[in-house]
Amino acid sequence: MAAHALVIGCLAALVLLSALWVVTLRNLFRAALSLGLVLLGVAGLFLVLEAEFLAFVQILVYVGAILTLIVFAIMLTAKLQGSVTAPANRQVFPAAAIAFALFIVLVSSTSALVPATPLSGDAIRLDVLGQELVKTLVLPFEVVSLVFVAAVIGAITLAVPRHAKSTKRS
Amino acid sequence: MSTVLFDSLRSWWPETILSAGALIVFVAASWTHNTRPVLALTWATLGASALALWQTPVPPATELFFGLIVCDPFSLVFRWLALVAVAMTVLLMGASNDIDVSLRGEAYGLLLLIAVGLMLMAEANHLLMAYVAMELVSLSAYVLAGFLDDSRSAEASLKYLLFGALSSGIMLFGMSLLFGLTGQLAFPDIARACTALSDPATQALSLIILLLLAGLAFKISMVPFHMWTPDVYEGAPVAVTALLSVGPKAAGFALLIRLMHALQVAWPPLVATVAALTIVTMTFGNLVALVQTNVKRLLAYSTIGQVGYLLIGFAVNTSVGLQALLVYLVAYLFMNLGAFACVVAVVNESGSESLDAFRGLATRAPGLALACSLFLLSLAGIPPLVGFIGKFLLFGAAIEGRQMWLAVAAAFNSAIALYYYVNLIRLMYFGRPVQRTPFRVAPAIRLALGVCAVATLALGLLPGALLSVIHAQAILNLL
Repeated sequence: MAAHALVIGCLAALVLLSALWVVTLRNLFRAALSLGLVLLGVAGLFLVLEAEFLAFVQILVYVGAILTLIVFAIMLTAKLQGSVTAPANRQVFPAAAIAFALFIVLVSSTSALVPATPLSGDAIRLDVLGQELVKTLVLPFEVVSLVFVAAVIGAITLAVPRHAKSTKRS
Repeated sequence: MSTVLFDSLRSWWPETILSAGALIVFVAASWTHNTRPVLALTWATLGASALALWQTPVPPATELFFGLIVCDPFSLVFRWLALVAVAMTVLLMGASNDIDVSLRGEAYGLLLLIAVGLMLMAEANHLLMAYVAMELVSLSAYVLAGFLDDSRSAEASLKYLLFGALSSGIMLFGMSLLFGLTGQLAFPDIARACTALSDPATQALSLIILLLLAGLAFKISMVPFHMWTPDVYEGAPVAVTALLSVGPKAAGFALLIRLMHALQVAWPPLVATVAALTIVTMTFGNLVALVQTNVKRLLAYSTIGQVGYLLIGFAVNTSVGLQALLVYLVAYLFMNLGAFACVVAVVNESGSESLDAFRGLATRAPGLALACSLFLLSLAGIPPLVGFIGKFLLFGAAIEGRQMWLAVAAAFNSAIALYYYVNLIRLMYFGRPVQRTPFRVAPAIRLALGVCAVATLALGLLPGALLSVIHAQAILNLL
């Protein structure tokens, strides 16, 4: 049990430290790599808590896909390459104070809670989850695809240089 | 299994048509360089969807798609509101000349997707569905806010995205706590589980409500989650601003009412907080609106003030309050869209968004000035216009709900708001015009102005029809 707590503590420290790096490092590329550490740490937490599926999804989707996209975006955007100055953060102390206050409130009101019944392992059986997604949860599943369509088309529309587009069309 | 889906689809044709239409519009926009057929497709989709909505059977309350959404008279009101708001926006967008012609097709498609999202927000009966619907509306709106080719528009889009992501995150935290506490995702199950909770859990429930409120407060621009509103409204294309000031507000209120209805048990300790935020919201919006010189910023702060009035109906939390809220939402839809139609006309003509562009409008375009005055007076709550009816009901609800402070603050705020609305009318009628040439208003804008003006006047003169529809229908299964 003590080892369990120790592992969780180490992972939490890793997550906290690299999250701090994400917001304080002035080089965007390094900040992105620190984000990768955060995501890996969270995946580790999931593993320790016996949520293997979530851990694998976390690594596949967040570390594998989303982080890669972020790194691509930074490397492809000429302005962001190299050591650029981070956006102005004059309000770092008020922001830290608010975040800390929120943390205290959340901890104080949730620490007393104990789940009435421990959740059983069946709750996240993969075959059940997959069936649910195409049966009872089919509507949000489909609506999410509409969200992706909106996001992709919007991103392309905003990214295409306007002048190039209008000269091509006229 | 499949019978449930088929039965559900029978009541869900309007949204299905809108989604399919949006996809077709996207494909058509990438094929043709001409906006005319794309616009025709958009109108065909909206028309077909309206027809389907008209034909949709509305039993008192039907749970569709395994209880994920619920089609009841309450959501029917909001589905119509969403459809009208998006149709008006398409009208204004077609007539305004600020968006690049090559981007029009994509803009129409995104508007149709927003309509689907708005309808889903009002129907959602499940935390997952509610979140997905909100993201559909938000993502499309972030993109649309950045459709102009200037730095203000890009700033608007980015600010909207960052604030939206932050408030979504806070709301998701609330949702995950709620799920952890009750083990349920569907609203009726949550309501049942909440009544069984004991003391430390009920305290956590209050916190959960505040977290959920943060996400929705962003959508309806309630203080202290209003900061994005003026900048986004100023930077976004005028037609998009018009939609943002109406559509997501209405749908946000719908979701807020449904969600808080499920969490009714934990409500009493929070009434004072919500009432205080209501007063702060309306006072802040109206006071800051006094010193604005850009008409879009003026209307943004006016929107915050109006949201404050709307929140009265939510804060008193009685059936009278909810009815007043719905009536005022309908009124607000027409008068605010009308006001923005006037802004589109003026910005098209002068290219300027400053209040000075309105100087002497009465000599240049008398009809436009008259319509604009009508909408502004209605927003100020002058009888016999529809804004007065809505405000009257809201004040009445505050008094009936024994929240005298709300009524006093609202009356005080109406006096402040009257100043800046009438000031704009003064500029139009008594200001010295910068130019004297008369200008013609585009037919599409004239149509939008006409629809809004007729609704503002007719619903104000004959409020009985609106009241009977909303009273008989909407609140039955909510209280």
